[in-house]
Order: sequence, then C-alpha cells, then structure tokens
Amino acid sequence: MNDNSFKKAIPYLIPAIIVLTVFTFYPLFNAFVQSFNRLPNPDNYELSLKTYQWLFKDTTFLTAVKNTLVYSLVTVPISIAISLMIAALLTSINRLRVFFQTVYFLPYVTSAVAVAFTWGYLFNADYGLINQIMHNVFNLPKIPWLRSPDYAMSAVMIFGIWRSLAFNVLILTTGMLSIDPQYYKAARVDGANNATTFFKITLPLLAPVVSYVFTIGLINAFKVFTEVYALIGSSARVYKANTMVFYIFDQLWVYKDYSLASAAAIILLLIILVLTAFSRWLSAKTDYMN
Amino acid sequence: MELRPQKVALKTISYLILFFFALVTLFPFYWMIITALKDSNSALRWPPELWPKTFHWENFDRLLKAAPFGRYFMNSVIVVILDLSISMIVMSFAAFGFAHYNFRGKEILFMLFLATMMIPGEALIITNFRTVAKLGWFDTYHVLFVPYIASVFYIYLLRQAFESVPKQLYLAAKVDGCSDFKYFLKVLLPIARPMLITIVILKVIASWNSFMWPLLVTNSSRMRVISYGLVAFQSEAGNDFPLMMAASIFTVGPMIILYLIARKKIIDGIAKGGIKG
Amino acid sequence: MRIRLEDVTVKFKDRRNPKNEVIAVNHVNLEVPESKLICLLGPSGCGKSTALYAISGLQELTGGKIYFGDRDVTKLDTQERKIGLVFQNYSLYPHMTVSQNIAFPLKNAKWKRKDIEDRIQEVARIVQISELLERKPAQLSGGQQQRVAIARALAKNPEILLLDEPLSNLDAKLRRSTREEIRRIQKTTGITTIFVTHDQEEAMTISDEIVIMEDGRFVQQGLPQEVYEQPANLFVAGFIGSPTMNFFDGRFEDGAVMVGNYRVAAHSGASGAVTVGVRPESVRLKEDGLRVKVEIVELLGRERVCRLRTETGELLTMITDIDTLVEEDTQISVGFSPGKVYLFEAESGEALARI
Ligand SMILES: Nc1ncnc2c1ncn2[C@@H]1O[C@H](COP(=O)(O)OP(=O)(O)OP(=O)(O)O)[C@@H](O)[C@H]1O
Ligand SMILES: [Mg+2]
Repeated sequence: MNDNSFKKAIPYLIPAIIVLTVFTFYPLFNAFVQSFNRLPNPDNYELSLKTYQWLFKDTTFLTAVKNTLVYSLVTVPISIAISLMIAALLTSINRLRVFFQTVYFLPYVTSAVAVAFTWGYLFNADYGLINQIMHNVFNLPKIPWLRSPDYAMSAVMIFGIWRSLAFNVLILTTGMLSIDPQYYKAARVDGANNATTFFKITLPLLAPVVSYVFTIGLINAFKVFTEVYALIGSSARVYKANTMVFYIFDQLWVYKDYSLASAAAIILLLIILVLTAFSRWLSAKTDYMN
Repeated sequence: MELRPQKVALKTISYLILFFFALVTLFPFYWMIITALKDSNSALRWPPELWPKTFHWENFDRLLKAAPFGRYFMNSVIVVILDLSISMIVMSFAAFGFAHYNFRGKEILFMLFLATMMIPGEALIITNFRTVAKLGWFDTYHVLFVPYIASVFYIYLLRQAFESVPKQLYLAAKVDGCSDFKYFLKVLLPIARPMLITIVILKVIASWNSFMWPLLVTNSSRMRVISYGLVAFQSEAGNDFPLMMAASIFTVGPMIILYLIARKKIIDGIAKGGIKG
Repeated sequence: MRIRLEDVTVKFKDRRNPKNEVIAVNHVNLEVPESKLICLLGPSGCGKSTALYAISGLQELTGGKIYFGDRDVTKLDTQERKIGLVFQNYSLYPHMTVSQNIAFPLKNAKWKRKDIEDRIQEVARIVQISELLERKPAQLSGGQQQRVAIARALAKNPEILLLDEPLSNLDAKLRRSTREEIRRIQKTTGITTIFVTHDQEEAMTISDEIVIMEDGRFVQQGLPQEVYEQPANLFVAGFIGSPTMNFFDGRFEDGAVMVGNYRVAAHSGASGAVTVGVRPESVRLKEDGLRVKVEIVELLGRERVCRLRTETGELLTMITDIDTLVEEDTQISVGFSPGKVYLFEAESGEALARI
C-alpha cells in the first residue's frame, strides 16, 4: 500500500465526511456562534455575551440545571450501587444466569417512550397501581406523582434508575466475569471471606469498569430528556421536572429562541467535555493492569 | 461436596434478590401486556386484575380505528430499512477508507471523527433542525435518518474489524485479479460479517426507538414514526389505558422479538463497545 | 517463461523518519531460465519478500526493469502478469470453501462456470486435495492449507509461480514431504518457479539454482553444489552449510597460509590479513596441526560433532565419522583437508582462493 493513496481513499470517505460536516461539524460551529448572538433569530447576527447573561439569569434554566444535577447525582450512584449488587450476585450463581441477564437487559432495547407510558399509568394519581396500593392497602393518601412539583422529579428519577440498570448490570457483570478466577483462588487460599473478596479483590480490579459505567451514566444523565418528556409531558416546567435538554427543546420548539437554545447546548457540551476528561483521568488512575 | 446450611441460606437469598429485581424489571412489561387486554373500565378499578378474566383482543381493533398505527408502524419499518441500507454503506465505506489506505493526515481526520462522539446530539439538533427546514426536508422519510447515517462509533468498530484482516489477504486478492472495491466487497465484508450483523442489530434498535428528532421534523400524521405516533396518541387516549398500552405494544413488541432472537449478538455488541469504551 | 531482472531497486521510506530510506532491494540483476525452479535464499529481513512482490507486480519498483520472456512487464499490473503467488501464511480467504478459494481468481478473470468447475477438479487432483473441496480453511491442517494455496495459485494457468516461504509454518516432517510435493508439481507442470526461503537445506534440496541474498543484494547465483563449494564471499560461506563453516584470522607467511602456528598450506601471490574458512567436515585429526581442546562431543547419527577451542580461544566445529575416537576434555591436534580451505579477503569478505 503506497503512502499517498488519498485520491483512492476519498471516494470511500466522502459520504461520511459530507454527512458529518453538514450534520455535526457545521451545527457544532453554528451552535457556538449562535450562542453569542444577541438576537433570537438566527438569520440576524449581533454578537455579544448577552445570551449567556440572560441564560444565567433565567430561573427556568437555573431550575433545569439544578434538576439535571439532582437527577444525575441521585440516579447514577443509586443505579450503580444496585447494579454492582446484582452483578456480584449474578457472577456468584451458575444456574439461571443467562435468564437473569436476558431479563435485566430488556429495558435497554425497548423504546423509552413506550415504557414511560406504562410507568405513567403505574404512577397515575387515581388509577395507577402504586397509588391504589398505597391508598387501599396502606391507607396512605394518594400522591399526584406526575402532576406535582414535589414529586414529579422523583417519579422521573425512579423511572431513570429502572431504565439505566440494564446497561450498568450488563457492563459490570461482563467486567466481573472477565476477572481472572486465579485472583479468587488466591484470595480463598489467603483465607478471605466473600465480603472481603468483593471489596478487596473484585472492586479494585473492577475499578476501571465502574469508572467507565459511572462516566457514561453521568453523561447520559446530563442529557436526560425522553424520560421527562414521555412521563411528565410538555408541562414538565410547571411541575419543576424540566432538565437542561428539556430547556433546549423548549427554547427551540416553543419559544423559537435559537440563541438561548444554543447557549444552553454549549453549556451542556462543556459539562460533557469536562466529564469525558474526568473519565479519562479516572480510568487512567484506576487501571491497575496497565 | 456437602453444602453447609449457611451456604444454602446465602444461595437462597441471592436467588431471592435476583428474582425480586427480575420482577421489578419485567413488571412494567407484564402490566403493559395485561392492561392492553383488559376492558377500559377494569383498567381503572381496584382491586386490579392481575390476570384478566376475558382477553379483550378487540382493543387492537379499536386502536387501529382510533389512530393509524398500522401506518406509523410501516413508517418506522421503512425508515429503519432505508436507514440501514444507506448507513451501512456509508459507514463501511468510511471504515474501509480509513483501514485500507494511508495518506497524510489520516489519523488526524479520524481523531476528528472520534471527537464527535463526545458532542451531545442535543447541541446539534438546533442547527440541524434549521438545516433540514432550509433543505425542505420536513415530512420526508430521509429527514428521519440522514443526519445519523455516519455513526462514528460504528465506523470505529468496523475499521477495527477491517484492520484485523491480515494485509496479505489483500495482496492475495490482487494476485487473484481483484480491484480494491472488489476486495472490499468480496473479501473484507464477508470476513467482517459478525461485526456487521452486530452493528445492523444495534442500529435497528436505535433507529426504531429514536424519538426526539422525529418529533421535531415531522408534522403530518402520515409521516409519523411509531414512537411519535405513540406520543401523539397519548392525549387522544386520555384514560383509556388499554388502548394506550396496546399502542405501546406496537412500539416495544418488534424490539423485544428482535432481542429474543439476537440476544447474544446484542449483549456481546454492547458489552464489547462498553468495555473497550 | 523466462524471467529477467535488470537493475531492480525498491526503496521504502522509513515511516517514523521519512528522510531515512530502507533499500529493500538494491540494484539486483537476475536471470531465471524457462521451467526452472530457483530459490531466493537469505536471512530474515534481507528483502526476499520485497523482491518477490516486485516480480509479482504487487510492489512498484523504484528503479530497474523486469522482463517475462521478451516482454517488459515493469509497468504491468499484477493481474496482467500471469503469475501465481503463494504467501508466507497461505492467505486463504477464511470465509470461502476450498473450491471457492480456488475459483476466486478464475471468477475474477471471468472464466465460464463449466471451465471453472473442470479446472478446480484438475488442480485439486494435482495437489491431491480432491476430497477437501467443500471445507473451509479453518478445517484444514497446515499442510492441507498449503496445498490449497498452491492450487489457487496454479488455477489460472500462470506462466510463473512465486512462493514466499511457503513451508515456514509447517513442522519439520511435513516440511520435507511438502517440499518434495512442490518439486513434483513444478516438474509436472514445467512452470518457471521462484521459491523464497531462509532455510538453506530447503533451498539446497529443492532448487535447480540458488540465488543468495544479503541486505537487498543478490550476492551469488549458482547450482546448489556451486554455492556450497565455491561461495562468492564470506557471507555466503557462512550462510550455507550446517553446521556453519569455521572461520579463523589467518596470515601469509613465507609463501604459506598460517592460522596461529599451524601452517595450513602453501599459497603465494597474496599478502596481508586473510580470513580462513573451513567446513566442519573438512577438519580432521592431524599431528602438528592446530592444537585444540575438545569441549563437547555429540553423537549425531553416523557422525560425531565436536566443539573444539583453540589456544587463542576461538571455537571451531569438527565432524568426524563414528569410528574416530575423540574424547571430551582432551587435547588434540587438528588439520584441514587440502583443497577444502577457503581464503577470503579480510576487509571485503570476497573469496580469494580455495587451497
Ligand atoms: N512497506 C514497507 N515499508 C517500509 N519498509 C519495508 C516495507 N516492507 C518491507 N520493508 C523493509 O524492507 C526490508 C526487507 O523486507 P522483506 O519483507 O522483503 O524481508 P524478507 O527477506 O522477506 O524477510 P522475512 O524472511 O522475515 O520474511 C526490511 O528491512 C523491512 O523492514
Ligand atoms: Mg518475507
């Protein structure tokens, strides 16, 4: 293969380059420019820092950021903790492991919207199974899960945890199964019990995988939208369940304010870049093998 | 080996916990299916029916009369097929360009490709929305997938698969009278088939379940894909939960079937992409 | 088909340091007569594969010309050269069955289906794989894969067959039988063949002629016996023969060649430093020869292989027949058989004479 086959390569690369240029590179650049546009209409330009000033004064945006942060910081650790437990149990059994794995991963392949509607039914204030049981069995008051600023975010988070378990369990189980059994034998010889083995052997060796799952989880949590939109609907703002992407969506769809939407998107991009960098750092730090 | 009681207890508890979470995972699906077969009133009543006395299959008829879910379904099928046939070409071409040729700046270009994986799609939607508006692409099939046909992660996986094929096989193919393109078509692609299948399946799932973009770029109900159709149907259905759940089944059903058929491929694909990062 | 290389050169840019050039094939000339099998023999990395690829058209030349018969093929693509090539690791298409592998070049050349089927049967018979046609490469042993690779190379009736270390992945026994197989196939088809190897024994047994390659250059071409008996330089002398030739620092003194205090033989007409080479089988016991200590004696079949050390600390190998008694840890005196001692210029390594 000679070293200058650019001419031969270009026909193969050009479709992808065009698509990425038009639908990824250009929009990225444009979002950046628009975020400095004082005017909401993208066809007129007046560059300034005003957009960001407005953005950070916009209480809706601040609520969205707060909600996103709460959502991320609650769902990700809880989901990973549960997933770790499930993964540890899964690797300790032989019978039915494939069955359980199959079941646990199911939510990953099914449409978030469709499943959200089922959850919406379960959460329904009057007819939902959750309230019906609380009311009729435990004699508790019915909670308007999806129609109250106090509970909407909790409902979204419960749904979010339920959905994110699928990926986390799969990756953590795969990671645990790929740990060399030699280590466990050595630990057994050294007289370690199950708990010690888990905390002193499994977890440290699994650290890169955990940090990976943690980062991916955070990134996805910061982009949470479908869960909110499908569960709470377009009135999420009213029920204090709006998130950053929801805000972008709202600005774009309802208010047609491109510059605010862009500025919010750039902030989101920055957060994700920081998280990615953090993940690189974390996985470099936790990888004992290399 | 003799099992001590302590060990038996531990095993039992393990299985109980696993069953509990399996139940938590499956229950919404169970509820979806069961509700879809109840009559509208019994879906509202306490105590709930865990197993309906009679199965109301006519709910599906009612659904199809209430909203064109057949059409939505077909739209989704069409979009998935178009998406796959075009994106697999675009992506495997790009992967071949990167894997097979050497030119100055190749790795830089590839890094640039990879860097796009960090960009949240939401940041791009703003401009893409306007771009497709300017192109007059609203309410078409192609608008639903064209922006996503060059999925960098899959290009990356394919490039790796292509590069794992020994270079000598290319020389052999040349001796045997193959052009580069024929080598790509007749040798590389068949050898990379396991990877291609994995990518096709993952792409089908992503394409079928995509939601936000269709919501933005389709207006007329004729062009709705199933996930959008489902959302649009929500307000219409109101508290008619059986109808709503029947509609949901249309959406999740095909993917569950695909999952049960290709479970291993899907799980391996996600796990591989996941572990390697 | 006759093959002729004229001043062929292939240079590579060093990937890391583009200013550096690797000259993989360095101004070589070669003439391969019709229907002969010649071996390209040389150590790893000397440019054998590159030379072969240049002949096949897979590798562009930096300079020089290649002729097949009287036709200048330098600018021709691989496909147009009518060659068959067998690769170092076979390079069978893993997703195709044996018969599909063999059919592949024929399909590309747009043969008719019927002709392809006939041809598959025919070459399968030649290389004796008729019962393996429906298997995938992964279901074949190394030797079988090898034969499939040869069948594929032969399928489209090439005028030239090129083999790049085709036996290097086989175990010793299989290597010997496959070697004979290749020779048989080459003889029956009469196809002009270039066979690349770094195994001198292989080269000695299989080929009509041997070309020895060192560092991108062809240093000697000749019959197997010739390169063994009349090595052109120190490199060839050291490369051919097993165990390898013994070398000593020698000098001319009073019209004779001296190694230490041992007067090897009378020789005049030269002066200064010289390297003396002698093969292990030409070393024998001799009174008032070179005084050596016997370190190790190994019985190999009908021969004794003795490792000896001179008083100045040089190692040498001697091969004697089994009846000659040599005991470890004894002092003996050895000499070199007349007419079997090679003299090389110490500086350039060029062969000077055989005495
Ligand atoms: N594509 C290339 N780019 C740069 N250098 C190369 C390339 N191909 C070969 N070389 C260099 O050219 C020299 C000759 O390589 P070649 O593969 O021809 O050796 P060889 O004699 O076949 O070795 P072996 O017995 O190990 O197969 C080596 O130094 C090698 O590093
Ligand atoms: Mg080689």
